[in-house]
Amino acid sequence: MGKRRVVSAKYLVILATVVCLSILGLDRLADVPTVRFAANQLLAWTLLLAAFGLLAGIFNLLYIHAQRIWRGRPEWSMSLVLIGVALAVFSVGMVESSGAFGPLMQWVFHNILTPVPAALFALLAFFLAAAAYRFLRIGRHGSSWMLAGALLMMLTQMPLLRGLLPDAAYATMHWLIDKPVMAAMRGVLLGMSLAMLMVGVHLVFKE
Amino acid sequence: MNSVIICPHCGIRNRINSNFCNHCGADLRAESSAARAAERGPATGPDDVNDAAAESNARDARYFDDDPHADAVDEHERDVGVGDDGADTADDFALLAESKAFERPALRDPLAQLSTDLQGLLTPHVVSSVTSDPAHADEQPASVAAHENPLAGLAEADLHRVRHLLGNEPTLTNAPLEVSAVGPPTLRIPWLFGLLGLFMLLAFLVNLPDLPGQPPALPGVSAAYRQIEDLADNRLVLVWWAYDPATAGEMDLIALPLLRHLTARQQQLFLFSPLPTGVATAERLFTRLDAEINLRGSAAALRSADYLPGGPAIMPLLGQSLALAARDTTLQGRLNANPAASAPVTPEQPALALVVAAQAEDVQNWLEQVQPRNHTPVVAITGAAADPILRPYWDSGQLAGLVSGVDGGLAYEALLNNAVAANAEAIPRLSQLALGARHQMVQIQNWGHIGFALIILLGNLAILVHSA
Repeated sequence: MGKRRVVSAKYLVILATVVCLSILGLDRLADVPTVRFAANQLLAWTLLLAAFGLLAGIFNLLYIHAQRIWRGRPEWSMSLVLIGVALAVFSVGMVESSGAFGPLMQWVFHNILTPVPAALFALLAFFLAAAAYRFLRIGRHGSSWMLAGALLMMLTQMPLLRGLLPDAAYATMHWLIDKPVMAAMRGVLLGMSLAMLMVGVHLVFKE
Repeated sequence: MNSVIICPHCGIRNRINSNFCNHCGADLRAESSAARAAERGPATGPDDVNDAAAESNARDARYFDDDPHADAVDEHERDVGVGDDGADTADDFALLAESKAFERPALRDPLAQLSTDLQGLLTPHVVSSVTSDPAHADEQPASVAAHENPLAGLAEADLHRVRHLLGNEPTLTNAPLEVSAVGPPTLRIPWLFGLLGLFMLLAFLVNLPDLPGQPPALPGVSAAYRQIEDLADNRLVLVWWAYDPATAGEMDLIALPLLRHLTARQQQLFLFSPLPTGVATAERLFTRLDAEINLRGSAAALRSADYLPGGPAIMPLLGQSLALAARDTTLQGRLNANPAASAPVTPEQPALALVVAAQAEDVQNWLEQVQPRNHTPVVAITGAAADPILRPYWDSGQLAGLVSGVDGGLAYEALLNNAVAANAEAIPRLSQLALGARHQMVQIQNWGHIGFALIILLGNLAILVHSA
């Protein structure tokens, strides 16, 4: 009985997917007012679903971390900090008369939310430097080409050398970007799209 | 019961069903199959036969199908009885090198060497997996070999050999194994990081000479300038704001001149962002713009700013019904509240779309999901990394303008400054504070580039000295 219900639910999901795909596909191909109206409604529902998903995600996050604290799992103190900070920022937003755009919230955004992740992200430069030191070497198979390409890209885009390098260097850089790099990127994109399509079809019609 | 499998590449323990090593990413499918088969005992049932077949397939999959030597390697492994327990030996590879299947003309002339280097870019090499002396392997019990680090019992000389093989340079299976007595130069992380940190510090302390010339005129920048310059006053400009200042701080510098231009041209900006922090980021930038051009009121150009959850899925709505996307209370409401503004503006027909995004995907999504619906010209403002991906869209005419990277921002700034020089009334001048901030950004970029170039050169110098 339970299995039959699961199968029915699966067919309903597939049916809903096919209907939505048909409406949005028709809307894209032909300008029919009725279809346009239905497509717009579907897209508006997407907005609601996404907002609901966001809220569900927040509650899920809080629930998981609250459980972690309650059971005293490893690094529960980090979960405590997370919940504390989330509640503090939420309180600031609620207390402010102008909501998310009040001065206190703006202060939190300018002085905490932006600089802290920026500082963490800046560490990437150090790891990038270590990787460049390790990989971009003459003699390693394939690396000579990578080294030449990386140096050319870097030097031609360096403000300090602007106007000092020969025009051929800039022309080579543009040719590299326009031709081989572009071809490779498009190949990768095409491959990714086909793979995603196949994975989607496989997921929907798996059984 | 085997609960873990040891990676033959790095020796790290992984869960028994892992396909790849958690540490080094090596293919563990063969090892997983072997461990499962070992748990079940001798192959008697159909499942075991399937497992054995899967193991065989997985072992084959370790080599590339288009590699002409792959079959020979596999065949040789079966001939010499090489298993998955890391018992391959240097002697085995010596045999491999001698086998006829691996005979290859010596690459002596430069053209052939060039071809080999190019091949290195295209085809990953089969890495030798010599891990132990066969004599030692025989002494080691199978259970220990399966559970413990296979490198644990090796002599110092063997360990040195393993380090050379796995830590330094991938070695072709048919190439002679050359082990240096000195060992590869060590990666001295503290020195490396210290050097880069020093250059970052120098950017704040030492001013490099001014730029010798104007930024290169990147294709797309002047077209973007013309698009904004040719707009009639009080038109609706749709802005898709998709960057986070924490991870793409340079976007501020690229976006500012365009926003300054739009403000000066008295356009009405209606902003949507797929990021929760997008609206705050945009308002922050408009506040900065107010300070930079010493003219209060640029923020007024930002008529509406909304966060749109849903990512790319929601984008078609912007092309079909702006009012629905903004829920009628912001966009429509603000338009109605200001009759002067609403008169020349039709909410459904923006005059221009500005996509401000650090990643190329956002621009691509806009061009695929929104532009075909509203047929509005699109100007993209992106980071330098997105430029190669977006360049074809500019070449094909799908993008009406493309301003990418700090260079693009500076080139746009130069165009604006020329306009200021020609007609001071039309566009407000930048304050000294703003000019200083831009100069500082270019200085940081200069010093960072010098640091990176030095690090790469030092790495190569170290390897050349080591080779010598």
